[in-house]
Amino acid sequence: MDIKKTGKELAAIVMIAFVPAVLLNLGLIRRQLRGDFDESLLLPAGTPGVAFIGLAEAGDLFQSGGALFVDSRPRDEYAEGHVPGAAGVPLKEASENTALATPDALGVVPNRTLVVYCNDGDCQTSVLLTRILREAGFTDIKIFLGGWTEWRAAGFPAEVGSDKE
Amino acid sequence: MIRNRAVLLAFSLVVGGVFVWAAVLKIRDPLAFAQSVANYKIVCNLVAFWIGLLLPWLELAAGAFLIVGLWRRTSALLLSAMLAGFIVLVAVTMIRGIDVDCGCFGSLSRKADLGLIFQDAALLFMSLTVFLSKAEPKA
Repeated sequence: MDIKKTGKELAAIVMIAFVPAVLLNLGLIRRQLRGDFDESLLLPAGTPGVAFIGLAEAGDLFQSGGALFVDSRPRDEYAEGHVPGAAGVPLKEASENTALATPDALGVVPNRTLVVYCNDGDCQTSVLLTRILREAGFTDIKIFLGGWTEWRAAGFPAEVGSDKE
Repeated sequence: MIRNRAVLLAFSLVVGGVFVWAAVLKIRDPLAFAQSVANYKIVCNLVAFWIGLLLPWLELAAGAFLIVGLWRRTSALLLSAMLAGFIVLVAVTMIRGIDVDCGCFGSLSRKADLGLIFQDAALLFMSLTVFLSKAEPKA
């Protein structure tokens, strides 16, 4: 095997790949340099209508009834326990059928505040589901990254059983 | 060692085709792929961003070169290195108990599990066979 020749060919393939990759994504690269993707890659800082919230704000919204909670976990986990009144919209199902994540499907108006949660901060399903909910028309979405784990640890109320449907 | 030109050509088309298809699905939504990379919890968002941007294009180029037969052995070497890396990554992810989608085929991705390791191992066998072969497959 000719190592020099292989090295040159490898360098050529890398160049041929990387030049269009960079040129076609200059907009994204600019946003990366601005720090837009430091917190989340799918929902960059300043995404209109989306905010990350903590336990206190999630609790306030629950107490005041000011938001519809949306549980992005699989149905079996939802059935084992969820925020009372939360709609179960498993990410996997919503990815395959975005009609499940529309205002009509959830029975609310598009500007209704949603609080999306999953298990905990390591869980990305809330972020992924939020992307789908935004595309479905929702304009005010809050992501509770502490999720179900933090909610239960704080002793907040829970409800068991399947979703209404 | 497999020297049959028809077999080598078939291996090139299969491996190249899988990589080109996977790359096109990911190039359509680089941020989603970058998030998939970040979900493995091995690199920070910055590194995941650049992998999300660059890796699909490298897969596309290497896969396309393998299909058309230009720099065939070098392309096969590059794809073999990627496949070996993916196998190690999935194995480490399983050992760490992290449950993620592999991100390999954009929104059509499957779980990063043992089945994926077998799938990648089969592709690795084919690409290594092409790399180690002396014969040029007839196009």
